[in-house]
Amino acid sequence: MCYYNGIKVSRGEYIRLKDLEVFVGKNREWINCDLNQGPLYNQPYPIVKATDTGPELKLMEWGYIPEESKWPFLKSREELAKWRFMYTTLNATCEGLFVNDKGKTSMYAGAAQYRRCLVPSTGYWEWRHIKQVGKSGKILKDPIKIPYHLVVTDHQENNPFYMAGIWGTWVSEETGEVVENFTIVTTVANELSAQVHNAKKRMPTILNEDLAQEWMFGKLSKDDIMDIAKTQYETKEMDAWTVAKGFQTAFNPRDKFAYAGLPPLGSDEPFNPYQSLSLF
Amino acid sequence: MIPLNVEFDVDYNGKPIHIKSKDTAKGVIYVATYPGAKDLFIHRATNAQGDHFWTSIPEGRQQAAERIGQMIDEYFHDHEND
Repeated sequence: MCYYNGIKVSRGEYIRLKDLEVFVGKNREWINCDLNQGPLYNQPYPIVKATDTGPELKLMEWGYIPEESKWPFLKSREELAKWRFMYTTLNATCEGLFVNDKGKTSMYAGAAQYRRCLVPSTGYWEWRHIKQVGKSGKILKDPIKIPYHLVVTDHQENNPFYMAGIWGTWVSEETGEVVENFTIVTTVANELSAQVHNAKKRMPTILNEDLAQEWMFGKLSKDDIMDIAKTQYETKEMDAWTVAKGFQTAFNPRDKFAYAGLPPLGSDEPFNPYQSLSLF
Repeated sequence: MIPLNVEFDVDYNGKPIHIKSKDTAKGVIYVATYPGAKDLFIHRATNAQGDHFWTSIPEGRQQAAERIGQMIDEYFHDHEND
C-alpha cells in the first residue's frame, strides 16, 4: 500500500494519481478554462500540433487571424475585434483552403500547406431550423432553431475524436502580444449532419486515426490535403440528440432534452409545440 | 464542443468559492477558486478499501480538498433533478 495525502491507496491508484499530478501540472490553464463557445473568442482551446518531437497539446485561440503579409493587416486587438465582427474565421471550408470564392489565393493557403493541426472534441452543437406552428395553428414566418448535440458514437466522454484544423501565429503590433490561433476545417455534411444543420448542410472534417496521422505528419500535396479535408465522416458512426435551449449555461450541456411536438430528423413536418396541449 | 465544464459557486464560511469541473482524458478534475489562496485542483480518488475520497492534486492540501469536495457532493445532491 502507498499513501496519497496521508490516505492509504493501492499501488495502482497511487501511480494513477501521480500521473494525474503531471497531467494537471502541464494543463493547468486548459483545465481552468471555460466551456468553449466559438463566437466569444479569446478563450484558449487545446489543440494537437506537430512538433519535431511528435504531437504536442497546445492552447490556442479559436478564430483564425490572417498572417501579417495577407490582407487585412490587423495591428491591434481592437482592429481584430472589429474585423471579427464582420468576418467569421471559426471555420474554414475545405473548398476554400487554397483558393477563395473570388478565385484568389485564400488566406488559409499557407496554414493548410504548412500548419495543420488536430482539434480534439467529444461532441459539438448545431441548430436545426424548422418551421413552427403558432398558437393560431398557422405556420409562423420565421423558423425556430432547435439545438442538437452531435457525437461520434465510439468517441465520447474521455475518448475524444479529432477534427481537422489549421493554425497560425499573430502578433499585435500595438502590444507585442503573440497569439497562436486556429480554425476548424469543414466539409459537406453527411446525412445526419445535413438533417441537423439543415441551414448550411456543413459539418466539421472529422478524421479517423490514420487520416489524423496523415493530416499532421504526412508530406502532402495540395490535392492530398484537399482530399483529406473533404473527408465526410459516416452517419452510421455518429449520433445526435436535442438539448435544451440555453444549454451553454446548463448543468450539463450534453443532457438530452425532449421538445414536445418536434418531428423526427428528416421529416418535413413543422414543429408544433401546441399539439400536445390539445385536450381533444 | 468538447471538454465540458460544470460551474457553480458554493458558500465557504460566508465567502463564495467558484467551482469548475473539467472532463479530461485522465479523469474529472475540479478547480476551486477563492480569494486569498491559489486555485485548488481536487479529484475523487479511491482508497485501499475501495471507498471514494476527495484529494488535492498535487498532494499537500488534503484538508481543504475534503471540505470543498464535501460541498461539491452536497451541491450535486441538491441539483440531482435539475
